[in-house]
Amino acid sequence: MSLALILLATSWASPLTDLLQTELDHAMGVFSAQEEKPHYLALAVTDRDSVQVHARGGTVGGSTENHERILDVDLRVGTPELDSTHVLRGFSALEGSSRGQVLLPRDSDKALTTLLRTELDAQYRDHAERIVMIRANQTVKVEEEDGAPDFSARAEPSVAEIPVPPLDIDREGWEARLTELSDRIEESEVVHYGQVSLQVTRLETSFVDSEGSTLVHGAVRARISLQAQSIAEDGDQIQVFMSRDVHDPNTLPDQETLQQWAGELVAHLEALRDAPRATPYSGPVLLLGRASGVFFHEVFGHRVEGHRMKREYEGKTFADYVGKPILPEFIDVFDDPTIAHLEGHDLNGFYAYDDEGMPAMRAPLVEDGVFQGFLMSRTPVEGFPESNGHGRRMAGRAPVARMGNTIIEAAETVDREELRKRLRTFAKDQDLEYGILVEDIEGGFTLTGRTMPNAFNVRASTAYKVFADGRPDELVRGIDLVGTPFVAFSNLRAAGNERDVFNGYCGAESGWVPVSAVAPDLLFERLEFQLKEKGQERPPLLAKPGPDGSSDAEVR
Amino acid sequence: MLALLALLAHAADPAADPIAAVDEAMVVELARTAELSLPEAPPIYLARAHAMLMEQADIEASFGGLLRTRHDPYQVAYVEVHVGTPEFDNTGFGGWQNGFVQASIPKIVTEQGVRLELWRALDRSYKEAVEQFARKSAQFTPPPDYPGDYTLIDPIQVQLDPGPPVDHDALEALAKRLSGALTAEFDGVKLVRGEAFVGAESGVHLMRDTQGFALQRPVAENSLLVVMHARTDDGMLISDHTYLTARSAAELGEPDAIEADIVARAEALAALTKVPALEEEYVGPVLFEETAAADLFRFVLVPQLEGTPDEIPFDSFFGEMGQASAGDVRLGRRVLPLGWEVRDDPLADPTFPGSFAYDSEGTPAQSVTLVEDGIVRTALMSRVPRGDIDGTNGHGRGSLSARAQGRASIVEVSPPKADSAKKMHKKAMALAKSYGHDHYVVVRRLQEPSARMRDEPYAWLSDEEAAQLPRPLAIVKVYADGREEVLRGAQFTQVQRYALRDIAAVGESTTWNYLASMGGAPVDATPTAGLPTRITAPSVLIGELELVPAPGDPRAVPLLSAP
Repeated sequence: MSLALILLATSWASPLTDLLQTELDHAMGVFSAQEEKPHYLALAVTDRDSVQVHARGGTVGGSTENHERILDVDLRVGTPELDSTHVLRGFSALEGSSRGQVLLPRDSDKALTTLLRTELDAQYRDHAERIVMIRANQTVKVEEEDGAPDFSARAEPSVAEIPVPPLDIDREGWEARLTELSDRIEESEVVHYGQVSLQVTRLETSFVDSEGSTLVHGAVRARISLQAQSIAEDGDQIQVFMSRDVHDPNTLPDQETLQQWAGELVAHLEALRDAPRATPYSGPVLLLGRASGVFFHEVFGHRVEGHRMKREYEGKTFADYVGKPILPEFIDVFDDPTIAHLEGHDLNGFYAYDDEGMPAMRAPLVEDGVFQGFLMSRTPVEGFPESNGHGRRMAGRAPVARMGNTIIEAAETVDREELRKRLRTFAKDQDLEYGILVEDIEGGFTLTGRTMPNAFNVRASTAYKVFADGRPDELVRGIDLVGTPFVAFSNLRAAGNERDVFNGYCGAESGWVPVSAVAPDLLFERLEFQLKEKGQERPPLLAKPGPDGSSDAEVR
Repeated sequence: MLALLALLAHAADPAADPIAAVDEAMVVELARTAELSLPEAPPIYLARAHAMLMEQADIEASFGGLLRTRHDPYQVAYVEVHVGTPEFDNTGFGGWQNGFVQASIPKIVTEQGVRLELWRALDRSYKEAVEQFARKSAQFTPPPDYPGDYTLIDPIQVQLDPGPPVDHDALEALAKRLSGALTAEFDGVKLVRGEAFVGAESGVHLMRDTQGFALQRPVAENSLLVVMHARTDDGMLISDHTYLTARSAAELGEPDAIEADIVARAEALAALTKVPALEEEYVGPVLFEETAAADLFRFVLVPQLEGTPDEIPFDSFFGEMGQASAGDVRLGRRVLPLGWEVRDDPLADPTFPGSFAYDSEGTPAQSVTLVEDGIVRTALMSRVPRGDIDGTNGHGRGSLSARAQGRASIVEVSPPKADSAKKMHKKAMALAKSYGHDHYVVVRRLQEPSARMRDEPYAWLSDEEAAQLPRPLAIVKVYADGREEVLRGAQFTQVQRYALRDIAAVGESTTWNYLASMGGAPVDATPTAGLPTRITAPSVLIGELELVPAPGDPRAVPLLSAP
C-alpha cells in the first residue's frame, strides 16, 4: 500500500471501517499464532434497508420496511497456492463449510464486536479443519485438471468511499398508486391473481481486508413490477409480468405510464389465455432483444464464470476455446459492470467494486466471434491469474465469478423487418409452415455440470408463429427454448440494429445478484422448443367475486 | 346457512371496521361454498374460515444491540373444507394437500380484497379435499370401532374484545436492556451468547363455519425469551434461559426486577463454568426440584395426556408415511402413583396468554381432570374424536393450517400429600445406599433445548431426544450430612414414561411457563414460536434414573475473547 493511500484511508475512514480494521488485525494476529495460519481475511458489513409495498385485490396487501446489518467473513487458511476455499472432491465434498447469514447490530459497537469475534472464531475453526481435509484430498485424489492457485495477488489495495443516496420513498403515496393499479388489473374476470409490487433496497457495504483495502460503497435499487395470473380452460397457468428497475426511485415510471402497463398486462393475459398451446418445434427462430439477452446469459454467461473451470464436476464448455471462434465474426460480447445506463435503462449489473473489494472492470469475452476469456473473481484459473472485478455474492454467501452487465454487440446488423423476412425464408427453406419469434421471456436456467445434459432452457413468455406465407402472426403459449451451447451458436445468422435491456436477478451458488443483459435481436437458422410444463388445475369453480360485493353463486 | 345470514345482518359497517369487513367476507364466501361441486365428488359437510387480525412485534437483541426489530400487521386467513361425513372425511390422512389452506389478508382490509383471497383459498381447499378423500377411501378401510373423523357440536356465537395493543417500543427497549445486561463480566466469565427474543402478537381470532359458528376471541401474547450461554475451558456449552409471557408488555413485569433476575441467573451460569464436570456414570435416585420438576412432568407426562389421534399412515412415492398412534396416550394407564391427580384448566388464570375461554375450534374451554388416583381417565381433546373419549373437551390448539390438536394449557399436577424437605432427604439417602452410593443427585434446572439450539443446532436431535429429557444445567450430589457438590456436564439416558410411577417422595410445588411447539414435537426451533403453556408440579424423588457424562468439544473454546 502506498503512503498516499494510507493517508487517504485515514482521512475518511468511518468509525465502522476503523472498528472492522481493528478487529481484522486482532484476529489475524491471534489466528496467525495457531498451527494453521490464515493468509487472507476480509470483513464486509452490509447495511440493507428496504421498503416493500404490494397491492392486490384492489387494496394494499402489505407495506413494510426492513433494516438489517449483515456480516460476511472471507477467511482463507493455508497459502494462496492452496487454501481452505479449495473445492473438495469425492465423498469429502459432503463436508461443507457454508454458514448462514449473520446479523449484526447497528446500535452497539460492543455487541457488534462480540458477535463479529464469535463469527470469526467459528469461521477460523471451519477453515482450519477444512485445510487439513483439503491437503489429504489432494494426496488421495488424482491430479486436478486446473492447476492454478486458489488466490490471486493484486497490485494495490482498494481504498474508496462512494456515498450511497439515502432511501427516500413516499410509502403512503406508493400505496395509493399501487392500489389504483391493482384495481385496474382486478377489473378483468380473467385475472385470478394479480399483484403490483414496489421494492426499494439500499445497500451500503463497509469492507476491509488484510491487504489494506478499505471501502465504503453500495447502491440503491428500485423495482416496480406488475403481474397477473390466470388458469386457462386446459389448466395452463398463464402468467404475465412487467417490471422496471431503476437506480433512483424518483425515476420510476409515472402513474399514467403504469396505468397503461396495467391495461397492456391484462390485455396480454387475456390474449395468452385464449392463445393455442404450441407444439415441439425445430426450425428458425428470431429472438427479440430482451429474449436475446437472457439467451446469452444462460447459454454463454454462466459458462464463462471463471471459478467453474476449477471444478472437476463442471462441464467447462469453453475452457479449451480461448483464442478460438465460438460465434459468428460479427459478434462481440463483454461484461462491463461500470456502465450505469444504456439504451434508456438503468442497468441492474452496475457496481463500482465487487464483493471482494476489486474495482469493477470490463471483461472482454468474445471479440469478432473469438473467445477471449472468463469472468474472474480472485480465484484464478489457468491462463487467467487475476480478477477482473466480477467476484459477487448475496450477503451471507461466499463470492464467486458472476455476471454484471453482459453486453452483446453486432458489427453487422439489419432492421427488424429484414430479420422477419429472413425468418420466413428460413422457414420456407426448411419446408416449415412457420418460424418462431420470441418477443419476451420470463427467465431461464442452464445446467453447466457434467452429470446432467449441458443444456439451457430459456422460458419464453411471449412467442408468435411467423408464417412463411405471410399470414398474420399467431400468438402461442406453452413452449420453452432449449438446446446446447455450441449447436445454438453455430446457427446464429444475423443481428438486428436495435438493442434492448433485460434487468433481472440471477441465482447461483453465491446467491441472487442483480444483473443486466443488453442484446440486439438475433436470428437463428435452427433452434429447438420443447413443451413448457402445463398446470392440471381447473380454473376456479366459482365466479370471481365482483367488485360490487355481489355474492351470487355462479358455477362453471 | 340461515345462521350465517342472520349474523350478517348484525354486522357492523365494514368500511369503518376491518374486523367486520373480514367477518362479512368470510360469511359471504363460506356461503358460496354451498355451490362448490365436482362430478361424483362427496358433498361438503363443513367449511370453515379463520382470520387472525393482529399486530406483531418480532425483536432480536444480542448483548445490548438490536439485530432485528419488526412491528407490522400480521393478517392471515386459514380455510378448511371437510367433504364426506363426520364419520369419514378427508382429514387425518397425510400431511399436505388435505383441504387446509392458508391465505393472506391484505394490510388495508377491504371486503372485496378479503373475498378474493378466500375465493382462491376455498377453491383450492375444496379441490384438495375431494382428492384427499378419494386417496383416503382407496387406501384406508375404517375398522368397525373407527371413531370417525370429526365431531359436530351445536354452533356458538361469541364476540370477545381484541387483545391490547402491542407496545413495540417498550418491548424493544426491554430486549436491548436485558441482552445488554449480559455483556458484563460475571466473576471473570464472559458469556458467549446473550440474546433476547421478543415475539408479541395482539388482536383477534375470527372463526366462521357453515354450521353457524361465529367466534371472535382475543389474541394477546407477549413472549420474551432471554438466552445466555457460557463456554467452559474444556469446550462445554452451558445454556440457561428466562422465558416470560404475558398479555401485554407491562404485565411481563418491572424491567428492573426482570433484569435483576437475569443477572442473577447469568452469575449462576458463570459460576457453573468453574465447577468440575461429571466423569462417572450415575445410576440411582434423582431428586427433581424447582423448575426441573416442572420440566420433568412437561416432557414425560404431558405427551401422555394430549389425546388427538395421530394421522393415519398413507402410501406415497416414498413408501408409507405418517405414523399411527403407538400408544403414547392410553386411558386406564397408570402414569403416577396412587392418589395423584392431574388437571388442565384453560380458564384457571385469564391473565395467562395460554388461557382461553373458547378453543381454536370455538368450543368452550373446560377444566378437565385427566389423571385420578395416578391413572389416566381422559385426555385433552379437540373435535377430532377417539374411540374411548366422548367428543371434545375444549382443548383444540395449535396451528390453524392443520387439524386442531388437543393440547395442554394450564396444567396442575397434585400429589396426595407432600413430604418435608428433611423426609425427602432421608428417603433419598436410604435409596442411594441401596445402590451403594454415599450421595444422591438433585437436579434443579434443565437446559431449554430451543435455547441451546442457538449454538448447538442439533441438540435435541441427538442423545437428548432418545433420553426424553434435556440435559440438566447442573447436577448436585447431596451427601448424608447435607453437603452439596455441584457438577456440570451430565445428561440423562432413556427416561421411560413409567419413571413417574416410581416417585418415592414429594416436595413443594413450582409453577413454570414454557412454549410448547405448535406441531407437538418436543422442540420448536424458532425461539418465541409455540403455545404458551403453564405447569404446576411438585418436587419429586424418582427411585432410579441414569446420568452419564456429556463432555464438551475442545475445538469450541473461543480463540478470540469477548471485548
